[in-house]
Amino acid sequence: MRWQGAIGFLLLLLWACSSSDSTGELEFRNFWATPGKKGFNAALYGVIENNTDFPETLRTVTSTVAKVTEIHRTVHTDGIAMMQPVPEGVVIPPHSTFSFRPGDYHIMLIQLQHSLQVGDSIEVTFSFARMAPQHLVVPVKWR
Amino acid sequence: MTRSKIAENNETPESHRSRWFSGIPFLLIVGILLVQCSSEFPVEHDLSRKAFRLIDQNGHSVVFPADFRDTVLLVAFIYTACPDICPLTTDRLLEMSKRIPKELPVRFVLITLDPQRDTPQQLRDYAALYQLDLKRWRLLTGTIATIDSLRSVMEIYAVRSPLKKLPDGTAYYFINHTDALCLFDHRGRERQRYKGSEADVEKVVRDVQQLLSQQ
Repeated sequence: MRWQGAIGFLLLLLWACSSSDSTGELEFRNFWATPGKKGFNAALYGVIENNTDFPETLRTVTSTVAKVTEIHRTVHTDGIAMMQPVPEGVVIPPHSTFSFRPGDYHIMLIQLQHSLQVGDSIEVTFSFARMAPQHLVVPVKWR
Repeated sequence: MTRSKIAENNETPESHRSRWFSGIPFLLIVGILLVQCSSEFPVEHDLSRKAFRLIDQNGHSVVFPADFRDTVLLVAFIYTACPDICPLTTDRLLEMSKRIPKELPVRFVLITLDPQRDTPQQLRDYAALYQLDLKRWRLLTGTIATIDSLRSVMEIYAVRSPLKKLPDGTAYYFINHTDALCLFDHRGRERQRYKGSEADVEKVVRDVQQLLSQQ
């Protein structure tokens, strides 16, 4: 019985140390922001998991670290990389995930208000169509 | 005279001709192999007789590619406001630079696609952000006309997105562009092109070493 308790404690510890933030209904996994100098642009990447029975739409992302924050997608056509703003937001299907990753969908931090260095962290707010806004603290790192 | 010599070797002109002709396929195969070996890095764009006057991150004048003669170059086209693709390309190029010994005559060059905003100071800041070793790296900008001319010769596409405005009224834009990393030989000829943001680090390093061994 004692070892079962120890395993339970370890599982709880693992859960607490994992890099995901969860409301139960929405889970934010492995979010990170790229470094950048003041005035430069940076990007935000990570995975959102929708654990509900309904599709959820991420409408906007905001952060005081940048003058503007936009959802974008990089599309490759005939060797040309094109940046496409996604003002309508992105839909996360029920019991499914949506990935923001380099070279694909990403959240753009336009014109940083101050420099971001590896080891810093930034506050970001995700606003959804159905659920309440979610606040996240995101580390700054390379990859 | 020729005939008597052939006779001494117990060969008729017909058998000599037949042997000569039978050697042609062998020579052809050798020829094809030689051509294949030498064209593993065919010349994609020859800039050896071109001279583009650019400016490096320190404000010094650079003639591209002449000032890099006798070195193999890995050249990427980027712009410093690019938040997604160019950091990927720079990151890969940085990884390649770590795997290529410093003593080899190889240099890493970033050429901006946004000469209007990418001043030498902006390029210096970009170099500092990525901790680029400026003994091996050069970041280049120039006049819009020169950059456009270089892009045209190298078939590098770059077009601005529509202007948008920040809350303070400042305009901003992005650039849709060719995602390219180019391998240049010591004579200023582009010999291989890769998709910059997805370039296979190991393969490019192997290609650099192979190109060096052919020089």
